[in-house]
Amino acid sequence: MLDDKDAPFYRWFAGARCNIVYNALDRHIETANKNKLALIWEGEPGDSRKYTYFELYREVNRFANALRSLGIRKGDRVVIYMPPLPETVIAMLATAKIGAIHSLVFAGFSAKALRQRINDCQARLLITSDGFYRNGHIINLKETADAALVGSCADCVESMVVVRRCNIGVDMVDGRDFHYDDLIRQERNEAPTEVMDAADPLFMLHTSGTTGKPKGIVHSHAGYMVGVHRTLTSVFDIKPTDIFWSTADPGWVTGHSAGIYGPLLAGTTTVMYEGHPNYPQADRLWSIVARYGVTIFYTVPTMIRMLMRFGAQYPKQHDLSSLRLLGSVGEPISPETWIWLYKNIGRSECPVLDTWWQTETGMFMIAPLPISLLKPGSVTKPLPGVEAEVVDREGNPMPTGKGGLLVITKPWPAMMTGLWNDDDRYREYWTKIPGVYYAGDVARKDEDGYIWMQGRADDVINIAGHRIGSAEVEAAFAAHPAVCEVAVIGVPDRIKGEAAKGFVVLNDGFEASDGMIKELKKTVRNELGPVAVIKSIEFRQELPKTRSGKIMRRVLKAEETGTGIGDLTGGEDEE
Amino acid sequence: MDQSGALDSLLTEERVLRPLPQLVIEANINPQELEAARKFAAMDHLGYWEEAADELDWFKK
Repeated sequence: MLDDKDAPFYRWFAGARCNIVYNALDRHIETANKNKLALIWEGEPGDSRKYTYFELYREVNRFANALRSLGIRKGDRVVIYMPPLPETVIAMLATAKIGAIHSLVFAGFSAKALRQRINDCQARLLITSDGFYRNGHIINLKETADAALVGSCADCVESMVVVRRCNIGVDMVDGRDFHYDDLIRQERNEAPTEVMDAADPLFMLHTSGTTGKPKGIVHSHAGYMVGVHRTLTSVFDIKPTDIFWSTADPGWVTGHSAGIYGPLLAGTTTVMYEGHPNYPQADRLWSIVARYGVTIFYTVPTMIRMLMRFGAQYPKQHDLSSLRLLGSVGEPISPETWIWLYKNIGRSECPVLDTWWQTETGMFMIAPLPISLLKPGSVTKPLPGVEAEVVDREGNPMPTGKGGLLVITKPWPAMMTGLWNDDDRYREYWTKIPGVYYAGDVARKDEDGYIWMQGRADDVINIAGHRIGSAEVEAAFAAHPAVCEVAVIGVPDRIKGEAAKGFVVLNDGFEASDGMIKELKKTVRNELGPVAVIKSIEFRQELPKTRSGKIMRRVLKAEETGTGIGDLTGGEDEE
Repeated sequence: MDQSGALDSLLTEERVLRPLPQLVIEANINPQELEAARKFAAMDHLGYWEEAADELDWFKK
């Protein structure tokens, strides 16, 4: 069941054989799910495509055959550099079906970042599209893909598959590049599903810690499948009638677990949108919810803050009554943001399910169920089968109410099986505090056992001996109606050692002034008491963020202290 | 300074929201079942996940 001989390289379901695609697609063809919608996709210009499980199954089979015709075999790496398109889903599933390993690279990444990832996993095949629509423009993706393959670093790539999305002219390299539709035209509708050992790699996703080059986090077929299936179906209470929409790009782990694998394993309908959330105006997401009758809406706090900025008039123009559950992931959500979502999108009826998990964990770890008592701003309790604890640096549990390091004390099925070609760095997760998984986040547990995330351990601010999580101070700022977004960092202070500085993006209609600074300082003091003194506040038009929308406090910190910001191609893709 | 690395907790959030009765009735997992699952998983970590694995299809177990 669990082989721990080589811990921390745990092997779940050792000896078992499976394939996640058998469970996500093949088995549904034998049930009432066969003719049910698996995927609803909407392009930014307003075009739409829908696939039943049967249609998706056949399309995946055809492309799986095409991949085999290209010589791709079990264990080969396939890099998928794609925007959110149906073919992105098809490419992932077809790759997994034949036992190859996919590595998604977010379409917003540069040629350099793409080359780095291709090189790291020595991919034989690159799948991309001619372009995609973003904020009313056509972005040429093929050019960037070509640029990534220049030079000897990417010699491993033998072929490139190009999906026609925008029908723009692209240069095809003879013998290397093939159009997707040309490849599948002659292929059969059936394809054998490769039998995989439980621990065989399914995919890798590159993400960064705070330093160094991106690490390729590897997930396996069996453990990932079991963990994602159990946690997604229970947290989101999946029912046969649901239309599930996770807004995350397929290039992030949320796009994998909650956008594609989770919903398909559960036999539900998943929604995918290609473009910008504010195109052509700030109600696009609500228009999609209303038109398809989305029942579960899962997104990130940054998105909610952005939509808050435009006010409640946009959601009000649409019938959002189909919604029954809301979810948040990616960063701590402040109580005020939580309440806004609950009231304005959820009609004060839909629970907001704040989920804590990571690329490394693969599945939801700490999250409520719809029947849970909810406290705005808390991720509630570890899910059954997840053992989480808040500890000090030695690994001793913190007393109730005291913040400390979040660790996972027992292995869980969807845990990463390792880092691609970097066993030493993988071991670090388990040796910082010996024997437990170090998540890199700080949190506290309240008297009911509810967990409150306080931010990243690297972002803790130390004011006159008091250690405070950045997320708490930011939540206090967010309680003021003028604040759209905020980041708080520690800056050197001659007397206190460190002091807090806030970077604030104001909502429309509020003015950056000395009066506003005083008001915000007062709000933070009211919320947090006299300890969290805000030394200074700077107003910004925007905050530096990762490509997945997380605020990069270390960039602000580097600006403040005049130090280098390190490798940003690593920091770009945190999820 | 506290050597253990403890953090101060300054944010107090008192609001608690209860699920609507209809939602509890319709949910796949009710509060008693959730508590039972927690207890079972705490007692038998591997057994809990083995049961989760049984909900999926395997070529060989």
